[in-house]
Amino acid sequence: MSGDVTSPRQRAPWLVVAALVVATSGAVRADEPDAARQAAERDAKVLGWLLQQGRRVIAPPVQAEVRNDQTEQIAQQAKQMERFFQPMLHSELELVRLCCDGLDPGDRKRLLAIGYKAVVTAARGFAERQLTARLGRDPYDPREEIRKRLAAAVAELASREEATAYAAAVERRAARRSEATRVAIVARLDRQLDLTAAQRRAIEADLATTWQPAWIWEIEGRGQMRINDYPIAPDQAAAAIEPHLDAEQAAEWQRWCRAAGSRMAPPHFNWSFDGQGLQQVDGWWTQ
Amino acid sequence: MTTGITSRSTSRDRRRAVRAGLCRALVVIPLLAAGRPVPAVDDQIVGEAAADQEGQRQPHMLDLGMNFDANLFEHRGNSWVVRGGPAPPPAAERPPEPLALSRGREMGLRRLERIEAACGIAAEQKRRLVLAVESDVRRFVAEVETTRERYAGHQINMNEPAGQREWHSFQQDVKRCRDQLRDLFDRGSLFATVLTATLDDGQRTCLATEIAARRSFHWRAMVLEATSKLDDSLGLDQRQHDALVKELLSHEPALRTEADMLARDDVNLRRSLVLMVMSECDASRIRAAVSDQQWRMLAVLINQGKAMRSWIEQQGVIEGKP
Repeated sequence: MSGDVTSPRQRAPWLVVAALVVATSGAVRADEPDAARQAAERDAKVLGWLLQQGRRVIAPPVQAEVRNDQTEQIAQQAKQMERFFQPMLHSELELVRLCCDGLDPGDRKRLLAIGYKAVVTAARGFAERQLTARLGRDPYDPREEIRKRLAAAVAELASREEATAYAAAVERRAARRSEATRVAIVARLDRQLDLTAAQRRAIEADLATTWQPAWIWEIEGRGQMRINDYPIAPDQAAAAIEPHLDAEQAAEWQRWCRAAGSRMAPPHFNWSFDGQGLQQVDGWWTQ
Repeated sequence: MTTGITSRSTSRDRRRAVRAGLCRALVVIPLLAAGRPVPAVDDQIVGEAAADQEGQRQPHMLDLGMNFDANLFEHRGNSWVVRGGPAPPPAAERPPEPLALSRGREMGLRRLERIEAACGIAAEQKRRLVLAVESDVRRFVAEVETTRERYAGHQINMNEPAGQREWHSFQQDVKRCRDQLRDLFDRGSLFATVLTATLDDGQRTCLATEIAARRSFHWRAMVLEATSKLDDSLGLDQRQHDALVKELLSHEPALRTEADMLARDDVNLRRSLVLMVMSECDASRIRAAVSDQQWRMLAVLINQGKAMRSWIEQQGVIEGKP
């Protein structure tokens, strides 16, 4: 059991290295210009994927076996959680409806059924982690689980234009969330370090160029936690912050990072799914 | 196979019986030695309940003097800390100055530094403003120390109604002092008066611009944070999201810009404030931006925000009316 928990973590850096080697080997072998371009594109994709995954790749989900005596308990808990997760599905279905209003009634019903099945899967995944004490260690997001399954179904069932429109809407929503998190980081810095307007602008711009999506989870996953009477320092993004601080702010920043650096606060599971979503789907889905 | 299981379970039962016997002996012997009857299992439950009641009757003593500074300076907003146990022995030497003085001074000088960074002030201007800070802080200290003295070494029992009443009154006094500390250099203070009289027109414009930029930035941060959550709750598309953000940004409230006020890392307070402001926006424009299904939920959230107004005002995140 303990081997299961530690071995993927130990393997992960080697997987990253292996992925990089595989990616770069394509470019080395390529003799033709077209092949070289394709290899370069593939490298960029692999590197982009690695950067996007951020720390999630380095620390893969913790695996834990479900004991026999937990099976029933997990099933009961999963049933309870379905009720909590349904509003998440309804909200996502609303976005699908806004983007894909040409879906025919049969496909709407199919999509709805896939959505409810995704809720069951997400509830089960959540309950398993909850009852095997893996929440917080294993960054499982039930909302993402539901959205991922729904997105795959939309791509299959909707017309190409509508599927593209939904994918674009999802991408724009992710971009909005990234922007909100970046601005929240600067606001937190400003509360602590008294930045000038020029410093706020410069840090926000630098955060945008060095942005890693995994930071959203890391920042939000710590909620309102405080250590040593400080909020958690957003020191994952230190490279975008430090060049813009004056000497006094830099000294205070160092004190803050020592007192409440992000390494001191393991991310905890954010229970922000509690009923915050549409309570029912639009009648359009069952027409 | 069956025999094996039976024999294993029999020996396990035997071991269990021996262990239970030993445990009973461990409980019984000291009780017999103390001359008490051996309690039965149900006696034990009754006994535990009685012990609980006894625990409730036991005094839970608090030293209010010891809790005063902790609640005034370390915990703000709505949070309270209860530090139990006996009061520490009096220090051999009195601290050089009251905590209220150093904290108030620190706040004032920090604000002065920000003003200096925003509009640059001459040495003579700074001297006058430092004097004003000192004067405001001394007045505050005199008031706080009078209240604080009342609680010095005062013990209460939180398990008694009288103690709870005293705790409630203590909270009201600390809350009043917290509010005074919050407004220490605001409108009506000597600092605010001297600042207006001391800065020239260029400096005043510069300072007003910096304050406005800071206020707008923090309001934008709150709006983006709250609408990002609405994205999840309502399933907004880009057009809908933009419409809500535009409406909210055009209704910027008078946020307090002092670092101390912004220091409240309270995400619920920030979201409630955004919903409260949304309740003051043109409802028809918001209604037009969202679908029927989304409006059903958003209307509920907006009403919740509206109902939070008095609580939000109490938190001191927005400036009071002149």
